[in-house]
Amino acid sequence: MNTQTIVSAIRGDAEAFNELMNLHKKQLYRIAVRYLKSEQDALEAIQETTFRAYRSVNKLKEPEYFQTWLIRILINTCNDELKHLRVQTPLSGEANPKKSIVFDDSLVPGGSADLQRLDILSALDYLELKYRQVIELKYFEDLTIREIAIILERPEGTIKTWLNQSYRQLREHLRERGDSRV
Amino acid sequence: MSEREKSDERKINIEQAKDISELDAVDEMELINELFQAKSRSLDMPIPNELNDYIQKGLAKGIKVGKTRRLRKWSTLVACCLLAVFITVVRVSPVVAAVLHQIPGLGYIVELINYDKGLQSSVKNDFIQPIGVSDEHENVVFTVDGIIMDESSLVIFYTVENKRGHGKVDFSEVQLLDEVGEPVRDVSISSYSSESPDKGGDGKVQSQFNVNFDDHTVIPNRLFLKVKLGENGKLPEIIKPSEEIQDNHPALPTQLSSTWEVTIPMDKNKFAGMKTVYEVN
Repeated sequence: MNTQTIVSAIRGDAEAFNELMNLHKKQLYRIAVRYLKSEQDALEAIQETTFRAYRSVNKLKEPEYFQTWLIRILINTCNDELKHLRVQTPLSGEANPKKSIVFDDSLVPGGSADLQRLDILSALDYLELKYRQVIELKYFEDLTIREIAIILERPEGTIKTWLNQSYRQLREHLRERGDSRV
Repeated sequence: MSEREKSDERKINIEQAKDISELDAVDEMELINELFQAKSRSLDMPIPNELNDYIQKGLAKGIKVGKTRRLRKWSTLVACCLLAVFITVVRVSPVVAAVLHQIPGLGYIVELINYDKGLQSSVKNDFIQPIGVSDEHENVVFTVDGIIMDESSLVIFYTVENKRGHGKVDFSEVQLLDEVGEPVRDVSISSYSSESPDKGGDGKVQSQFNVNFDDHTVIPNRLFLKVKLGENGKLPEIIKPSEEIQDNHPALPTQLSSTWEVTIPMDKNKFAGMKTVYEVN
């Protein structure tokens, strides 16, 4: 049934496309917020993603990759958005990523209340974007290595390497946490 | 599938971790466990109500752009069709070509497409004289549609309509006579052999005679064109001067007995004064 919706969306059925967007919007929003660290920017990115996706949905060859394809467009849109932001604030370019590294606790309900359990999420924010992204896509969005590889447009081997890097770095950060706690 | 991949993943990670230390491997498991636990909290992210509005806005924009793009595609297609029609019409219809020639800028293009400029310009300059006289015998109609004439040559456009329903009709004899019935002297007649007769499938063959005048030719005011027609007969490509045909030409076996006669008035005023003499010292 889902495949049928995707097929009619590919044929240009706006209603079917809308239905699919409703199906995936929460996931898209989560990924965008985690990426851009801003609710407003995430919403803008979703709007742009919807536009871009609708415009080129007829070029989608395999319906089963619709979700992957949609997320890839989102990630590309977010990349553009970040580039745009960086150009807009060239002088504070150094300060910007630092600011964005601090995860907004208010986005996670009960986040501030449960400091110990939040640690893994805040540790993620210390990682480089690509390392954070693979962890999030894999563990929070339940995507396979293959899907992540398609989304980030990298070979599967690269994704695996990044994952291992992420584990190592996360461990280090968590160990620091343990040390400071003692 | 994804579960298996995940466990594979974990296995690889564990193997790699073993290289570092046994302690790290334990850490690894703990880490992944912690990530699994964090998942539910990550998924609990509140979704703002505006999300739908933003999606609708994006979708509306996409639909709008898609429409204009489709429109552009169609207009390109239509423009191509019009261009094709334009070229075809100009090639096929000399009248349209002549009219379009008047439009500044188009004249050059029309000339490019059309190569028979001589004929075009005679049509344009009204040199063609419509005649439209015909003669019918034995269910074959011979019609002279019109002529183009100047001091040195004469082109006779004719139509032969075969109502007998079978066979190809062609000329076996062509004679040009002046007012008093004497053959016109010093002329050579050539006919366009009708390569593809009966194009319309209605038994009609349209073609032309080209008559070249000599310096000494006296052009009569009226011209009698006498033709004999043959059916299925082989014909000489070029018909010899009339006297010779009359006397010596053996009759073709399928020659029709009748003679088709058409009178062509010659309007010499049409080209009078068109001639310019340049004196060379």
